[in-house]
Amino acid sequence: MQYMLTEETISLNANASSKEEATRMAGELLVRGGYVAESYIDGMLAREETMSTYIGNGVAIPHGQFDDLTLVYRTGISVLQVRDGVTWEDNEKAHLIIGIASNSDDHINILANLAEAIEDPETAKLLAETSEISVVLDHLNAPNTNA
Amino acid sequence: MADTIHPSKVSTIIIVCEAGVGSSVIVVNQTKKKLRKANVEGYKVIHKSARMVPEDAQLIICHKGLSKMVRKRVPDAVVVAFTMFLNDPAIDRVVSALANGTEIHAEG
Repeated sequence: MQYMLTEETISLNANASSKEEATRMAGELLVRGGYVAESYIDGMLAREETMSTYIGNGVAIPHGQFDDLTLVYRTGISVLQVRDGVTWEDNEKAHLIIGIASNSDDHINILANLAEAIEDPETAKLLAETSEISVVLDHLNAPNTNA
Repeated sequence: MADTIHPSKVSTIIIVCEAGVGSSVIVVNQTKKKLRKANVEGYKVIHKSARMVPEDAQLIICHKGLSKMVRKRVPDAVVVAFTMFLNDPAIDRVVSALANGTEIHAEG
């Protein structure tokens, strides 16, 4: 069975000095996982320019725009953990940057699982601080039944 | 432009974001949870890209940055705009109107 998150697309205790750098890093992890084409990263950066993907609890979910969905090969996510945080909006720092590659409604349940985890401030904090990849996998992974 | 809608005229709540794959999914999840908590049943909650909103949409929840575009596309729908992806009071107001059977007001 294929999963939407693997060790390969998780980077813990990373350093990023700007939102652009962090978005690019989360995008490169998606490329490495084989989820998206390289040019999807430009779409992720463009999306942040027009509307931030910061969702609260120290979490941002950068992803491409409508026109970039053809650059998605299959659904998957990447996780970039920046313990000191990266300024994402005026008064908000993101510690957990979750890149999303998805182009189909079939995957809503998988992404709902992710939503469930990061809506909880304590889980979001745990994931922003952990040095165990297994903790991240335990909270965010879900079988990709449509892969 | 539609300003209010009664819950009896709503069957589906459409959560809209730009691509329809990331942010709207978070909001769908939260809205469903809030409806369950308020014991509100019988409404479908779905997510759509702003460019794919059906013309017969009744009630739309979207981020403030998209509300102008969405209103232009579907002038007959009641559009409630939020600013925060987690725990925005605008969504609580929709849920409580559905729970109490009172008019839902367009916002933002």
